[in-house]
Amino acid sequence: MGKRDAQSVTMALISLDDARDALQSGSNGAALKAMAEAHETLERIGHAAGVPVAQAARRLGVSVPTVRAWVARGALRAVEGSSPVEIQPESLRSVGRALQELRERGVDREWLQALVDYLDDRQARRSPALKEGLAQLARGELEPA
Amino acid sequence: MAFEVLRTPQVRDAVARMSRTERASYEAARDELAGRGCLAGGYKLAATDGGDYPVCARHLANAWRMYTAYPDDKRVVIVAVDQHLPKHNPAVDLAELLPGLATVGRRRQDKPLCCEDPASPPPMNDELRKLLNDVL
Repeated sequence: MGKRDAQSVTMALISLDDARDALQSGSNGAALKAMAEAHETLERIGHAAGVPVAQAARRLGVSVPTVRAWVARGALRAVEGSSPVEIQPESLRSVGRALQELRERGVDREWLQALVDYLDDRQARRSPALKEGLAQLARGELEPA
Repeated sequence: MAFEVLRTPQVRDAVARMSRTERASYEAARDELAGRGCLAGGYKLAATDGGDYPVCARHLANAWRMYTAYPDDKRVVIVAVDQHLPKHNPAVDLAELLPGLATVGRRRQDKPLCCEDPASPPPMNDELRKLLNDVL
């Protein structure tokens, strides 16, 4: 990092300290303004378009294979053409928020069981085998079992 | 009271792929359906709106499940049998996030029974009723 970039980081840190002090004194408006300044300062420094898989896994609190599986399923979006794979920051934040909500609700086992039950039954309803069976039923293709 | 049990070609083909143990569990379930009707159907699937989907599911050996519908109080249709593999189960992802959570959904005994009286099989939605009425 060059001297100019290092000075920008220092300025951003000062803005973040201002934001913390503003929050502690209950001045939300001043805190938001200071955070915006910090963000703007850091934006000017060259940075990667995405987050490496290992860092994304740490941030989400899941394993690296899980992050890779979610990318494969489209739950997390990778930066196009990145090699090794990097995760889009906005996608990481969005999944992180969803996970946080799930974990907060995690204390409510009834809710979780209902959710798992619903997902389980949804998978059954979407089963290609069941769809095939219903289509055969529609065509009158029935025989003694 | 005996019930007529019918199946689709999907069921016939899937059963042909089963191991001996799995096939025995299918045949036991089929025989029980013939004797007890919907009482042997397992549990009702949940519909998207939270209500009951007009098809029942019963667990067979290993990951196999049997799906049944009931056109009237005399006949049972085995619509499909399928493997419910963990790698395809979104609940596994949730379970990984939330340690201690079972990956097989609500305990089976907590799910709504397919029916409580074989003379009153689970009601079907209009679409499935029409479909079965046209066929049978």
